[in-house]
Amino acid sequence: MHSVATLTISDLWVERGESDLLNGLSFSARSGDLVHITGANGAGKSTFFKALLGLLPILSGSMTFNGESLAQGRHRFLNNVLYIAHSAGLNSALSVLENLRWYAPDCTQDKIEQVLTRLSLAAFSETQLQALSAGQVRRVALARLWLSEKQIWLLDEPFTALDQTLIGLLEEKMAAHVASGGMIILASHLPLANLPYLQVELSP
Amino acid sequence: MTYFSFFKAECLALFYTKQRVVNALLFFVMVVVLFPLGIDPSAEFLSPVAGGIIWCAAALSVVISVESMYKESYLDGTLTQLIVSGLSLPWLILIKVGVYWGAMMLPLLLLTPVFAQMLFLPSDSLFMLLATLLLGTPGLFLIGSIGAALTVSLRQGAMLMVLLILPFYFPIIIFSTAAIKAMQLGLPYGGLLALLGAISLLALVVSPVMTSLCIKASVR
Repeated sequence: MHSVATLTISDLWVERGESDLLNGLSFSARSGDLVHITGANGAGKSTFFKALLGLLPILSGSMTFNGESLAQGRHRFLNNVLYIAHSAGLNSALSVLENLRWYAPDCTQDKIEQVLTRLSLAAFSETQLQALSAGQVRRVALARLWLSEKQIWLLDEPFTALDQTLIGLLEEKMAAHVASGGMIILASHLPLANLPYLQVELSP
Repeated sequence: MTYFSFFKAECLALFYTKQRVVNALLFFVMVVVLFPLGIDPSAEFLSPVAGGIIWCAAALSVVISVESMYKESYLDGTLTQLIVSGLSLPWLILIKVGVYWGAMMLPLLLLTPVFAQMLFLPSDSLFMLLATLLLGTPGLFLIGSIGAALTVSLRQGAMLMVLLILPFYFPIIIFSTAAIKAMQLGLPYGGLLALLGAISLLALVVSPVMTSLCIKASVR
């Protein structure tokens, strides 16, 4: 069970190229919440994640985690975050197992093998990532969710390149995470069929 | 992710993609072998310039090996994961540079006595050559790391990187070859070695921070 955590976004504006994005985005989330960020292409869904993670400077507004501004306490925030971006964030020269051991060095071999079996990746555990299909690489990236103890998940289009079975498994895992006091902020075009969520709509 | 798991992953990745290091080492070998063939293979000519030839070849092969140091990590998104890992990015960079330095320099240091013999470097100068390589090449890698990070998001950034970092390589090459020459002439060389060490130490402090700033500016 995770401890209580709150994330508050107030009147957030971010500059991206020539345009200002997020239009004063404001919302608050706490442990056990799933925030579903929707919006057309270019509305700023990925930009929001980058601003939240400190990869992009913000124009105005504030972001606080447990009452502390992210500008001061970004390090404490990042220690609680697992971010799955558009790109897999995996080393293509390494095997599936080596990539997962890199991200989750404290996990036992049994635990990693269980997760690989659950995600239908057991046969590829020793395969280099560059030999896998896009969908399989996506599965490996998402396997980190099963191995991580981080409280806050930031998921940017997590359903991309997944089949229906995997989408079902992922939704099940997300439900278990929020039930255990985790927090999920997710950007996706797809509706979440089986999960209660707080929707945040972004307009370009 | 921990610092040790990152170190292990970097070692494994570099081992699997060893072609990059092999290419840089082959370049080093080619320059050292072709130089006497193209100019003058006599001992009288080569003996006084052997240290300089080996140093220039080493510096150029370092440029080749560091050029793409961050490119693949940038493209596959692992660089972003390093930034948001909650670990200190400068320390992660230091680990990466250390792994590259080890992978490239250990074979090069092993090859050096062979080439020193081939270029008629006096045997008492070999120790000085190895000492300057040990003291100076960390600086080359650390400075190269800044250039590689600065140009990581550019499609054709290799030439720009070379132009940016090469001027900073000059002092290291000059002090290294001067120390070898000073030893051959029986002049004091301690000050030159101290300067060389100081440059590498300065790079050790400045480079991880500068590289991490450049990476954060590129990953947006």
